[in-house]
Formats: sequence, structure tokens, C-alpha cells
Amino acid sequence: MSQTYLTAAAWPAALALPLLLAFAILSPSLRRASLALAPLAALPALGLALLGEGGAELPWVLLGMSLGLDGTTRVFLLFTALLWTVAGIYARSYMAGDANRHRFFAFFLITMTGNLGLILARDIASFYLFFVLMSFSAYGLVIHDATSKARRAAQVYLVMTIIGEAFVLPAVLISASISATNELAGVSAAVAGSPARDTVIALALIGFGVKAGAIPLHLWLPLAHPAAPTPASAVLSGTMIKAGLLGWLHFLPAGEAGAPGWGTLVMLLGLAAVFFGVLAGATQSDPKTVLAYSSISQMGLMTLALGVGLATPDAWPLALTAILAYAAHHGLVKGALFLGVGVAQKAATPLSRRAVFAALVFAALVIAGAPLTSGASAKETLKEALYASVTLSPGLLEALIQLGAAGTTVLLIRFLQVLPRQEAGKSPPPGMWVPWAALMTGVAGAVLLLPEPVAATLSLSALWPVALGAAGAAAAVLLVRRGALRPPHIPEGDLLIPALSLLAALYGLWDGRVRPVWAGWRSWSAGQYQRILESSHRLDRATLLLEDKMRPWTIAGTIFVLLVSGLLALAALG
Amino acid sequence: MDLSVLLPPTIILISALASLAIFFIGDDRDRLRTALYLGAEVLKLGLVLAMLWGIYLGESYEIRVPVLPGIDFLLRADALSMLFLVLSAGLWLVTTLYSIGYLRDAPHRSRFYAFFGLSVSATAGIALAGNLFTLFIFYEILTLATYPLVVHRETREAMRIGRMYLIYTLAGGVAVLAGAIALQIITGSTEFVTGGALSGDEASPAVLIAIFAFLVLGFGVKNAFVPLHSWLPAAMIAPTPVSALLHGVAVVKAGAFGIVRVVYDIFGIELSAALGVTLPLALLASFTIVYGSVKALFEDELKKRLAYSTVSQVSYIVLGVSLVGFLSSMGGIVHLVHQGVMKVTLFFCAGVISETLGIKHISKMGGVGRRLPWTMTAFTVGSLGMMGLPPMAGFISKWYLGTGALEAGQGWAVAVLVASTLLNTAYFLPVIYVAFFGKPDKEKWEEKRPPSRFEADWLLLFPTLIVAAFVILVGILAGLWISPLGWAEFIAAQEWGYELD
Repeated sequence: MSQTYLTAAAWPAALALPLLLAFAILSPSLRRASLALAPLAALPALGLALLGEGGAELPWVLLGMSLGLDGTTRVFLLFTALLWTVAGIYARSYMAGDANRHRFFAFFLITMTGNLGLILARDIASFYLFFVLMSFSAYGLVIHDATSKARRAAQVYLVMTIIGEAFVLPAVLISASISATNELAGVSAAVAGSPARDTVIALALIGFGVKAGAIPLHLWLPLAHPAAPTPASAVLSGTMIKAGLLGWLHFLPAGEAGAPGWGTLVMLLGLAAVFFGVLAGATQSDPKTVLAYSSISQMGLMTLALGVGLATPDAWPLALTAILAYAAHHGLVKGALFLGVGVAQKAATPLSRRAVFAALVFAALVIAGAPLTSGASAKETLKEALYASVTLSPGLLEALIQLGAAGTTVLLIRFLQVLPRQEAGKSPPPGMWVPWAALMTGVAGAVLLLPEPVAATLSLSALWPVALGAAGAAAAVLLVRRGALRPPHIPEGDLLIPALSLLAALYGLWDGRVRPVWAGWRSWSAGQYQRILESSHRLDRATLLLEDKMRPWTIAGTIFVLLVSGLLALAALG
Repeated sequence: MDLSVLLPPTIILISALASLAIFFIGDDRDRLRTALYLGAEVLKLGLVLAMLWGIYLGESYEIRVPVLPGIDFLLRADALSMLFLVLSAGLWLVTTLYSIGYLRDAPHRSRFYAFFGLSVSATAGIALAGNLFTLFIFYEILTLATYPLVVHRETREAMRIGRMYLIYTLAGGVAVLAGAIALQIITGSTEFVTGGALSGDEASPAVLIAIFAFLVLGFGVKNAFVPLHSWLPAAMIAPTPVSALLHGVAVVKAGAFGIVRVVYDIFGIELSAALGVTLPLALLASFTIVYGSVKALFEDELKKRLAYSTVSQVSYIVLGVSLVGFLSSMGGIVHLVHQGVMKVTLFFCAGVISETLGIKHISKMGGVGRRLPWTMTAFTVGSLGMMGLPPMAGFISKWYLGTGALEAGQGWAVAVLVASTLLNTAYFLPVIYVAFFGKPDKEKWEEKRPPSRFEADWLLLFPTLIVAAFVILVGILAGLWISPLGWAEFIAAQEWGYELD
């Protein structure tokens, strides 16, 4: 009996530990000890991912909290807890010189609690609780550096998060209402058989799509992921982005009754993300921004698999396997790449520089899906799922993801090209490179753990996209050097700029036409009028500034429109 | 005669008698007054909790005094009374502690405490009233007892607002009285009956609808339905403890509570739905929710923004009641408590900020978070609760309102909740952002530090932190049977005639 209680207590304890440490950090007397323990806070969750059996019921918490794991969430917990642990150890050293590091760690630990909790949650309300906890506390990570860039990124992040909330909340409420119980496990089936099916699908696609960086809700992502301190970027892009994916898995009726229309739409959105991420990312000059765009692109592959499952229930087991393989593989590699940027910034001796660069080249090959890597393995699983597609032609889809892999190669070459280089100085601190090297080892070994046999990754189909991408990148670099090609500059956050100008235009319309009437009606409140006037002047200036930036975005916009129409045409053909 | 029947009148009289005694205590005799006052409060809270336990065990407490033929003065404690009573008695205690800190050395302290206590007595009377007649009496006493608190500062502006306050609330009282008299005429009684006193055969539907309209609009003044709400933001001229307990909780709740009584215990849910009055009521509540939030966006004065937020949030209660679903009933009833705890937290914070730093406007709050970290943390907790984010109290209310609306087939109300959430976010987050990330306006804050190790007067700070802790606790522990949610489920089950397992 006591044994059962003990194992049941492990589940809430794994969440309570990071949360309590976060509060302990706020107390000056406990700060030293809790900062030292902070990197280890995700270890109990990692233990649960490996060994946890059963679960825990806490009927007195919230609306009755239930914690535990199933096959899908166990995979999520595994890579999530692992990456948080590595990032935590890394952050101890990375943040050592930061006067506000206690604040960083407090937010880091609360965000971690949310991220781990939403995976462990087995009831709808708890999932929502931890999702919200993670989303809002990550604001503290994005704004941490308090530069104007970080503030802007954080502002965009917050607005997009709130917009996401406005869709997630009704999706969650409707799901809870139609599934009669609070259990997450039954939501998919309940949604599939409910008259509110389309409403829930639309709400969940948008609400969780913000977190997953789905196009065109990705606006915040290329700003926020790079703006956070590097260890936070790693978990933002490696694990937190997957929380949106998990939301989709829980709330969309994938694998239940087929929804070909929605499935095809989701597949197209996924493909759009794959290519848009590559095209917009390849013009960036900050390595972390390039990586953020790569995350959008890679999430597109998982979205594609999800779409297959939505459209064709029979394909769902394969599609789910592909999603899990990609989620785990991408989580680890993207984490390693982000952490590697920080190591590269500190690597100043020739030896360390070469070693770090070599390791990052390897990580880039893994993401691009070169033979013998987990990337190739994940791609094989994805292909198998695509063969089961009935709405879009499998052959076409396969060609497109191979093309996407070539694009990813180009993108990662761009990343290596813009990596910071130190000319003289010391080697990186062991507190940073040791956890990073450990993670790199995991990245290299991940191919052994994925469902596909390693031999299957040793194929021409894994090799040629990488070779094509490398050749293409080399050609592009040569052309740019010769002056034959001028690379367009797309501002970080690409479509954010037109979206803002649209808002500014609407505001201008309101300002010019509607407001005078409005103001006359309420002229008794002169103070407020003054305030609105001032803010409109500020916006006028902002509009002028935006117009300056309009030229580059037209390129981004054109690419986007072309891409979408191309894909739609393909959809019509396939 | 069983002495337990004396519990309800005793509970009302304790605070009333203590208040009357305080009238005769000089302003300078703080110690005596505080001892008397706090003693009365602790005693009252103890009796209320004892009665709560009794009710839970199935006891009943009722005292009936015939006044006129067919009209009784009736006090009776039921589950719904206890919810309101525990809320007002509990918050009264923390608010008094807060007031001691707030009113140190202020003039007319005895008058203030005396009327404050009388208002709380009237609230207890409203909670315990067993029929509309008794409820009306206490409803009017509440109006009269709060008037001197609104005009406490005795400025010309305060007197003007006081007059406006009286006009609004007395007019509301007249409407309630008219409804009550009509009810007395057609049925011969105005007693509250769990599940509904009327069967629908007493008069034609048109008459019943008219009575319903009179009662709801009468209570709707205190509940601050738009367009009957203007007195509430204006009443913010009163000292902050008054704004917090009376205008954030007791007075507006008296209106909401009255409407809950009318719908559940006079008309009954089935008859209300059959008369077709619930949908207009739900629409009125929804409009108030959205309108109040929109107005809050444009207020720079913190207390006024909170007042408009009250306008908006109190209507959640009526929305829950009028959506005609079991879960939404729970959501509405539980919000009676949740909104109270959250709003008191926010007003306490506003008071700490204005008393400690002299800041009343949001635009001047830059950097307040660094000077008053605990206060602003409490404010953040309250705000997140108002936005309805888990695990705060407001989330629980919103969850049950939302799922209840869907259960009742009124999905449109979810859109209202989402809009309200967005608007709440839009008017609370900037306050938090400015306080934590804005640049301080003044460098003199350090000089104003009180001679203590805390960031503000501890009598202001501790009550604030206690209520903030409750905002989190009642949310996190909602699953416990003693939580407000557990109690709300108990009440809703009674009103709906459900068996709880």
C-alpha cells in the first residue's frame, strides 16, 4: 500500500520540484542552494519518462487533476525532460555573469513546470493549466535581456499568445463539454463524433497553431526564439514549440473518422511551412533566427504527417510514429544547434573553434537528414505515412519533402555561414561545452532509438537532397560573391510587418473617418481624447517607419503568395 | 425553545451593536475601538462557521416574527445564505485590519467604523433574509448605511456623488418594493422556496413578467447593470476599504444575490425559463460584461478601472444564473465568492499603492513593481484571476460558465467569455507591464519607505497578501468539498433538485 502511495506521489512531485525551486530562488536566503539545484529540476520527470508506471489522481486539485503517461506523451516527456536538463546545466554557466540570473531561473523553472505538466496531464483542465503556465511564464524568458529587440519580441510574443488563448479556451471548453468526462484520452473520439467537430478543429488548429509556429501564425517565433538567452532559445525551439503539436494530437480527431478536407488543408499548411521557413530563413543573418525559421520548416513536416492522419484514419498509426520520431529527433537536434551557437560564441582557441564547427556541421547534417542520422530515419518513417495518403498524391508529397530536405540543407549552410567567429581568446567554459557535448552524443545516437532500422537510412534518397542542397548553396554563394545575385533581405518576423501595416492602415482609417464622430460624441472627456491623439501621433511615426520597411517585405509576401498558390495548384492536381 | 434559532439574529446584531457602541467612542480611543470591533468580528465569524457546520449536517435555523397579517420578518439560513455570509464575514475581518492601517490618524474614524459595521450587518441581513420583505428592509438599510461612507471625505464632489448614489440606489429599492408588493398581492407571501415559490398559475404570464422585471431591475441597480451602473465608478471617491469591501463586494453582491434569489427561490428556474425572461437577462448580463470591460480600457485612474471591471465581472454571476444550465448555475454562484476575493485583492493593492507612494493613476505607475514587489505580485495574481487563467479562482468560474453555456445549448455565451477574457487581458496586463517594466517617475520613493522592514505598512500589506493567497487557493483546491466550488455545487444541486453522490 505504502509502495503505491510512494509511486503515485512521484508524479505530482516531479512537477512540484521545479515550481518550489522557482519560489525558493525568490527568497534571498534560499537563493544559493536553489540555484545550484535548478538544473536538476527536470531529472525526476526524466526518471518518470523512463520508469514511471501507473499515474496519480488528485481529485482535490483544480477540477480533479490526473497525471500519467501513455505511449505518445512518454516520448514527448523523454526528449522534453532531457533537453530541459541539458539546457538547465548549460544555463548555470551561460548565465553566470548575469546580475538577474535568479529572475531568469525563476521563469525558467516555472516554464519548465508548465512544459512538463502539460505532457503529464491526463485531464483537460490540467493540460490547459500547464499550457497557460508555460505560455505566460515564457514571456519572462523572452524579455529577459530587456534590450529593445527583446522587448519588441516579447510584446509580439505576448499578443500572439493571447490571441492563441482566445482560440484555445473555447476549443478546450467545447471539448470538455462534448466529451462528458475531463479525460484527455477521449477527446479525439468525442470531437470526431460531435456536431461541433468543425468548430473544434478550426479553434484548435489556430489556437495551438500559434505555439507550433504554423503559418501564418508563426510571426512571433523568429523574433522570440532568438531574443531569449541561448539556453531558453533551445527549449523554446526544441520542446515548447512541440506543446502546440501535442495540443493538436489531443484535440484534433486524427485517426478517428476521416476529415479529408481538413486533412488536406493541414497538409498544405505543413508544406507551406516547410518551404516558407527555408526561403525566409535563408536570408537571415543572425544564426539563431536562421534556426528559428528552420524550426518553422521542420514543424511543417510534423504538420504534414498530422494532416495525413486527419484525412486518412488508416494512415494514423504510421503518421503518429512519424510525428513522434520527428518531434523527438528535432527536439534534441534543434536544442543542440541553439546551445552550439552559445558555445561557438565562446570558442576562441583554434582547436575549440574547429571542434565546435565540426560538431555543428554534423548537427546540421542530422537535421538535413543525411544518411546514418536520425533525420534520415525520421524522414523514412514520414515517407511510409505519406504512401498511405489518399487526398494528395504520395509521389508528389515524397518529391516535395525531398525538395524540403534540400532546402533545409541550404538553410543550415546559411546557419553555418553566419555563425559568430572569435579570433582570439579562451576555449569555452566546461559548464557549457560538457552538457552540449553530451547532448551531441545523444543526437548522434538517436538514430539507434528510432523505429526505422539504421540500414534503411543508408540510401541514395537520404543522400541526394543533401548533395543537391549543398550544391545549390555553393552556387548561390558564388553568384552572390560575383555580384550576379542580390539576396533579398526579409525582416525577422516577415509577415508581421505587413500585418502591422494593415493594422496601422485600419487605425488610420479609424483615426481619419470614424474617430471625429466618436470624439465629438464624447468630447466631455478631453483628457482621454488627448491621450488617443498622442498615441495616434506615435502610430503615425510608426507608420512612416514601417513604410521604409515595406520594400523588403514585399519580397517575403510575394514568396509566400506564390508558395501558397503553387501548393494549391499542386493540391488541385494531386 | 432551541437556542440555535437565535443564531441568525445574533449574527446580524453582533456587528450592529458593536457599531452602535463605536458611535460613542472618541476618535482618539483607538485601542478600545479596535478591541471592541475585532472582538465582534471574530465572534461573528465563529458563529457563522458554527452555523455553516450545522447547515452542512442538515440543521435548519429559522426565526419568524409576524409583522402584519401575512407579512413576516423571516430570517433563515440556507446553503445560499451561508455562501454570502461566510464571504462577507471573512472579508470583513481582513478589510477591518486593512482599514486600521489605512485610516491611521484620519479624521472621523469612529463614524467610519460604525457605518462600516452597520453596512456589514445589513449584508448579513440580506444573506439571511427568508423572504423578499425582509430582504428589502436590509437592502434599504445597506443603502443608508453606505451613504455616509461614500461622502466620508465631505468634499463638495463627494457630497454630489453621494446624492447621485442615493438617487440610484433608492430608486432601485422602490422598484424592488413595487415588485415585492405585487408578489404579496398575487400570492399572499414573498417567502423564498428552494426550487421556486411560484407555480405560474398565480397570475397571467404578463403580470409575472412585469414583476420579474421590477425585481430584477431593482436589484440590477446595485448589481450595476448597464445602463444603471454609473453610480459605481463615481462611488470610488470613498476611502479604499469601502471601495474594496462594499463597492467591490458587498453592495454589488447584494444586487446579484437578490437576482439569484428572485430567479431561483421566487420564480424558480423552470418558470423563469418558461416565461422567457432568462434569455433577455442573459443578454443584459452579457452586454454589461463587455461594456464594463471596454469602459475599463479607457480609465487611467486605477480605482476607476477596477470599478468598471467590477461592473463587468459581477454580471458573470447573473449570466451563470440566467443561462439555465446546472453547470452554469455552479459557475455563477461560485463567482459570487471568487469575484469577491479577487476584487478585494485588487482594491487592496490599489490602496497600498496610493497610500504608500501617492500614486492613483496607471500612467504614473512606472517601476512600482520594484518598490512594492509583494503588492504588485498580489495585484498580478488578482489580475490573472480576473482574466480567468488557471489556477486562479476566476478560471474555475469561467470553466463552469463556459461548459454550462454549452450544456444549456447557448454556445454564444462562450464568445462573450472569450471577449471578456481578451478585454480583461487588455486592461490588466498594461498595468502589470508598466509596474514591472516601466521607468519610475520619481526618485523619492525610498524616502517614503515606512519605518518597518516591509515594503508598506504591514496592516495594509498582510491583508492584501492573505486575500491574494486565497485567490490561488480557492482555484487550486476547487476539487475539495469545502471549497467554494464544492459549496456552489451543493447549492445548485438543491435548486435543480439533483441528488449529489
